[in-house]
Amino acid sequence: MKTKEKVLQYLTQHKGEVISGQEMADNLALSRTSIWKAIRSLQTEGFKVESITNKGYRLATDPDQLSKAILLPMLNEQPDVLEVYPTIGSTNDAAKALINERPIIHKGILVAEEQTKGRGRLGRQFYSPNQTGLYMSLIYQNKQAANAAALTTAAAVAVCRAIEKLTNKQPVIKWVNDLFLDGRKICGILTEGILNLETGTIDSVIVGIGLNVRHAEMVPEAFQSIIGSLFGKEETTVTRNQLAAEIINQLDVLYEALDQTDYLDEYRKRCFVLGQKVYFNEKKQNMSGIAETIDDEGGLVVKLDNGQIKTLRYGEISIKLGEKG
Amino acid sequence: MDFAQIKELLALVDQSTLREFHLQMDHVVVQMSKNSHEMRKDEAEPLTAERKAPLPESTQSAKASNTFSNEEIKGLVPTSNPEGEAEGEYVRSPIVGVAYLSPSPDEPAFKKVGDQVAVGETLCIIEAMKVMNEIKSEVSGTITEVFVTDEQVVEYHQPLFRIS
Repeated sequence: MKTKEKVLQYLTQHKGEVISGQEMADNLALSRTSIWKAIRSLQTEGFKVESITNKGYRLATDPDQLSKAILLPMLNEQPDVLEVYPTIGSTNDAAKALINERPIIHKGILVAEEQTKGRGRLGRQFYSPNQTGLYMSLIYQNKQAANAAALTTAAAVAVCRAIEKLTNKQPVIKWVNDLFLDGRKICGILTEGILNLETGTIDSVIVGIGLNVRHAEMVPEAFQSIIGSLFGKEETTVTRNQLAAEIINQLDVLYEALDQTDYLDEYRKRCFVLGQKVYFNEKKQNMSGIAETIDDEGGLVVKLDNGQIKTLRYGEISIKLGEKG
Repeated sequence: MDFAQIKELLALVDQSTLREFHLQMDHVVVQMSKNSHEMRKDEAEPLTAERKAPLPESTQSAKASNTFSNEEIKGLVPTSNPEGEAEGEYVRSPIVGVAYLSPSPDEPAFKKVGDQVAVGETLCIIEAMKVMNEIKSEVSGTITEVFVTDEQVVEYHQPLFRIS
């Protein structure tokens, strides 16, 4: 860990206390000059470290800025890789590049404050403004062939669980794994499978999660009526570090038990499209029907307008909010 | 067993992961299969082909991958010109899903007939359950055939491209 991260971790562990530069220097086996430089650097990055003359330093509240030093102690399971970027093209692209360099990663976590090329399905833009959202990619080793699809469904449940544990909000799921709150999309999950050319099997799975945490200014017009955020303009003490750690911890638990389909019951309860009229394309044809249930592989069972039953396993659906089937 | 029951059964099987279903009771025999004829043929043939004639060196090395040679596809038909046939490598779909030939609808296709391909280059994306799987080429060469159209649903092992 870098000096700066060590200092930040120490201050976080002693949150609210005034810590002298000497105390930190002694405990972290660093010089007072290094401590002073680290504090300056943290303040420049926006961490609210107070300098109290002749006494020392204090971190009054948990920092919202994403930081490896703060995230790591909150994780139940230590990853092989954890990187936090101030800005990046896309965390999923960075994850792919990482897998190219290091093919065997049991678990990797890449988190960014901002994405300049955040993307969703079929190259669509995922607006990822600086510091108001949580953009992360989790790399999991694919244990079984069926895991990739299960993991993407489980990820939606994990994000819901994390939000409900830390806040009083109750997001709902739109099949496959978009999260909505008060009729607006607050989270998108894009999963990518990494195929092994030799064996033709999916070796690793990258779960990209984009969560809008707070109200963002300057939202492109095309998204203004569609996207929302978890807290909006509401004041909150919940930090993005906490959210990130809780989502990761929740998904780790689900990942270990993907062969059991218990999480699908939870998924069904949270899936707001069931019982609703849904629209989708098949072979470029517009189709519609009533969403009946989610099968044990996460497929959406739809009763078509002509009475036929169809299970969707790819593509996406759209719904008209407020319309009942 | 009446028509309504068969209909109900069909719906249940359709929603399940079962690929095939056989039922024999009273005087009724019901057989359902989600395996397309095409796919079964493809699965069965490589074995036959291996026994029939030894494959050229280049083909054998590609056996454990998602690319297969012409011989393996044509299977039983012994070819008069094995050298010529071996030039083509088939890229097959490792999963059931929907194929996308371009990174986004507004962008040009990853690869089209006549394009050069290097090892590791993305040829298409196959999506299943919102998991996007980039299909990369294991060989270098020229795309000589594209077997699927954009947004086409593909079966396991279905040929996607031919690279020569």
